[in-house]
Amino acid sequence: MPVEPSSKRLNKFSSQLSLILRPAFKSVVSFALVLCAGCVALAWVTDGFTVLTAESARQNAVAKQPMDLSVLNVRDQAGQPSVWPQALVEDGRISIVTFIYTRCKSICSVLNAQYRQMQEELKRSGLQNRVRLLTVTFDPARDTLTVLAEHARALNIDEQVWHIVRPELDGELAVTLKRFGIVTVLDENGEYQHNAAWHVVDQRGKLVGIFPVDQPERALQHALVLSSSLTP
Amino acid sequence: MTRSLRCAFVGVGLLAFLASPPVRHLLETSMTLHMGVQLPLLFLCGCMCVWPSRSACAKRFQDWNVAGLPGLALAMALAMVWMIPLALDAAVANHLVEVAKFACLVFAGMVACLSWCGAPIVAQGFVVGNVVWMGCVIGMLYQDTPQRLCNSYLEGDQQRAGQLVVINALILGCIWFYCRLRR
Repeated sequence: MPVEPSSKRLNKFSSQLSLILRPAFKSVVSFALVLCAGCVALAWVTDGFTVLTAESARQNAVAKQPMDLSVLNVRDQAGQPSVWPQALVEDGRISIVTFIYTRCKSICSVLNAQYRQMQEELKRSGLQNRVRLLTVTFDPARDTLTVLAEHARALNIDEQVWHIVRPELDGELAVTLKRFGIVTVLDENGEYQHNAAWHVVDQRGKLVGIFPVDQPERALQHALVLSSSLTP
Repeated sequence: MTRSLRCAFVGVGLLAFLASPPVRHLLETSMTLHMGVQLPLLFLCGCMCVWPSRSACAKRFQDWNVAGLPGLALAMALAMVWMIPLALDAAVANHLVEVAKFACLVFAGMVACLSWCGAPIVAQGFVVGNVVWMGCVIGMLYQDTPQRLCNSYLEGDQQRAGQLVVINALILGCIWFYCRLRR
């Protein structure tokens, strides 16, 4: 019969193949496992291969899951006290929040310059009753209320739109910074190096969006879209 | 006490030294020390701890670890995760992540040591070559990136960290080459 020799040949071939492969088989399995586990671990750490830095990780995290703010007692440039997040809820507007210290010569001045533009834009289009701007100092020891008032005057801040506030209690400030993901490091000149971004807080007092410093227009757009769903 | 047993004791001692709060705190105040000193030393601790039992263990896992390749791949993957800026930041901010970092790197060192002994020169050369060029590329990226990669560390620190990573990679390559020449 013609079938027998060919099946015999096949048997012989497969037994030879398994002889070659058998010692390596377990290692092939373990190597594949290592590769899979490595990819899963990397995907987990980098949020599905999308982030490499803590800064972009916190933007992703908030976009997926809005975050409650912690309690923060503050006073604004006029000395007016308020308690976050309650005050933000009562105000009813969408807030864009940034963290600065007034002596900063680098990134904070960029933030302030952008805020001035946003302030003018909001006033021009009559949207100041929908979106407000908030600046928080993370150096309340040196940024006293007098310093803040002076700073506000220099920046030409309009109190209808923009408030610059000083946290009253260091403990509350630390918790708030941790929750927002703001890290401040003192450098050798006694200046702070700190991460900065545009933080959008909605009318429920939840942090709903974090946008990189170079994309202020996206933050404003996001805030305006959120505010358009509010009843006027 | 045999020499290899002493090696393991030194490894455990070094690990205890690195894990002690003042040393840990000191090494994590700067990105350079964190990436360029603490992480490689933790890996080294893992290697030293299993040094006495390297042949016995390598024999036991021989089937699953032909030429040491799966083990070396695992060690490289584990070490690579902790080169990501995000992971460094998280380790500084969160104690649990910190513990995970210690465990991962020591384990990676152990696996690497056990796999290394059974690995032929081609596999060793491949791994060392890869680590050297990856270290150089990562180090140069750290030096050239205009933005701060770690929120917890200063920008100048990041450049120094990049330089040290390149130097470490080159030193590793030289040591391996020297060892091969001596044989």
